[in-house]
Amino acid sequence: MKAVAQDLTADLARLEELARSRARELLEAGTVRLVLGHRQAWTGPTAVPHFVTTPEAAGLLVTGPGCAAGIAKYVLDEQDKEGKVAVLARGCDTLGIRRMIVDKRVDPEKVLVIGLPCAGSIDPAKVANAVGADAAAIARVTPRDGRVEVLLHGQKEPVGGPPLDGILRDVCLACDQKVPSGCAEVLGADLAVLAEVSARPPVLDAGDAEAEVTRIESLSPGERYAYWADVFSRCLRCFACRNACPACNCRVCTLESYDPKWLGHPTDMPNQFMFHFIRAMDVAGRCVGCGECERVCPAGLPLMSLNRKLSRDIRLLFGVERPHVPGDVEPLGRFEPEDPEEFM
Amino acid sequence: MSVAEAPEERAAAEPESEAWQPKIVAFCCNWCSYAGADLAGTSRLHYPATVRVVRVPCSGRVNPRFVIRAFQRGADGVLVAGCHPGDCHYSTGNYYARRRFLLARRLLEYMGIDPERFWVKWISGSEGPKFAEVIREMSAAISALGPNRKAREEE
Repeated sequence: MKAVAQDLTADLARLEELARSRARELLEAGTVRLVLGHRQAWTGPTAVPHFVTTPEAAGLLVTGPGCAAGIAKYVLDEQDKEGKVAVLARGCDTLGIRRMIVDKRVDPEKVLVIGLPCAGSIDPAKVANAVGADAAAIARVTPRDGRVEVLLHGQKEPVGGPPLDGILRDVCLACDQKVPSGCAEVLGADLAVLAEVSARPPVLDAGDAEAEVTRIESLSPGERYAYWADVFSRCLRCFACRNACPACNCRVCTLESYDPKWLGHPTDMPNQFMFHFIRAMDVAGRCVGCGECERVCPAGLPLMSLNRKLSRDIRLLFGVERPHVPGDVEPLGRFEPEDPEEFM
Repeated sequence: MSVAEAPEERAAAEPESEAWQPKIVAFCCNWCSYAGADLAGTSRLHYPATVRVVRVPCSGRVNPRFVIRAFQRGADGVLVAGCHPGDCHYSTGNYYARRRFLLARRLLEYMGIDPERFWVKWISGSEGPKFAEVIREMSAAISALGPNRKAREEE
């Protein structure tokens, strides 16, 4: 077990090398104008999006568990410019890109999707919780021997942390896309340990992933309203959830429309309900489950509890097994004459 | 006011007055349900004057957010009425609407808004009596629930 875990670390390092050299190669050959990936953040354990336009800058690319930020949505703006864009994409990113291609917002000819097998990405809050430190105090998280080592700011030696599974983001624990699909190429296919880890079934099955949805459903109507009123009262209306979401890709956003003005300026409860109802309903059946909305939310709203509720109902009502994987026609863009009529 | 308890408390505090009547917004499709409502009228059928009809080209025109907007602006109940499945003037509009509203009503319920306040009914152009019956039933049901306060704007 120990040897296997060690090899995962080695495999992740090897994957990083492969990603850098492939990016360098593509830019030197002029095949693409831009490679989208991640680089280490100035502070903190997570990586930030990195836009590589020169072969030299490819050396800063990183891959692995620190890369929490989704990068699919950047393709939307970048593809409008001259030349082709390559994306070093995990499974969640490939779903997001596929989403925008199916929605006819991204031209598949202008994007080169390079798949990266993934072992999941870390949740800084979980790391902080596990080592009993403030999230802002964490400098580095390094996988080692099946667990992670956590280096705190101002310290020289890392402290031993929990197993990798214990600090992965919730969406990663439920992810069934660790081996990316539908890519032009997949890097590191010969990395045996990484291949084995990424081919494992999700840590959480559908029921576990939807435990929070089940809990909210079991509340009384008054408690449910109070729960969401409390959640929405923290919403800043910054629209970060919309901006990060690959399914929220309309040319003109209804939330910014003045005529008709669906969303009023006051952040009172009627408008907050309207905002979150519109957001959830407009991505219903198109949400890829990447969890970016929740990750970028500065107020930490549990937006995936709305998205998961909808995808669960789509599964139960319309028999769509995996609503988060973009098909040719989304579940709400088609129908069956035999669809259920619960209350009609 | 405290956001959490306000709706129930205020509904309970409101005195039972004879004057209060529910406000129901009915989105009726032009080709079936609106004609059904018309027939109910020309047939001199009685139904409570609690309903405000909004004519739409098709039940498929009704975006689920219309329902929230109606609640925001003071509706106590919302009805979407369209042609029976298979009878849509545009062939399939009501099939899409059906999928959408199955999901939207579950989401409303999940967000704590009483799903009993949101109805979808299929009423054809020849079903004047059914239109009157649906409005009677719905009016009674909403009256029993009392005024809606959830997601509603202050006047």
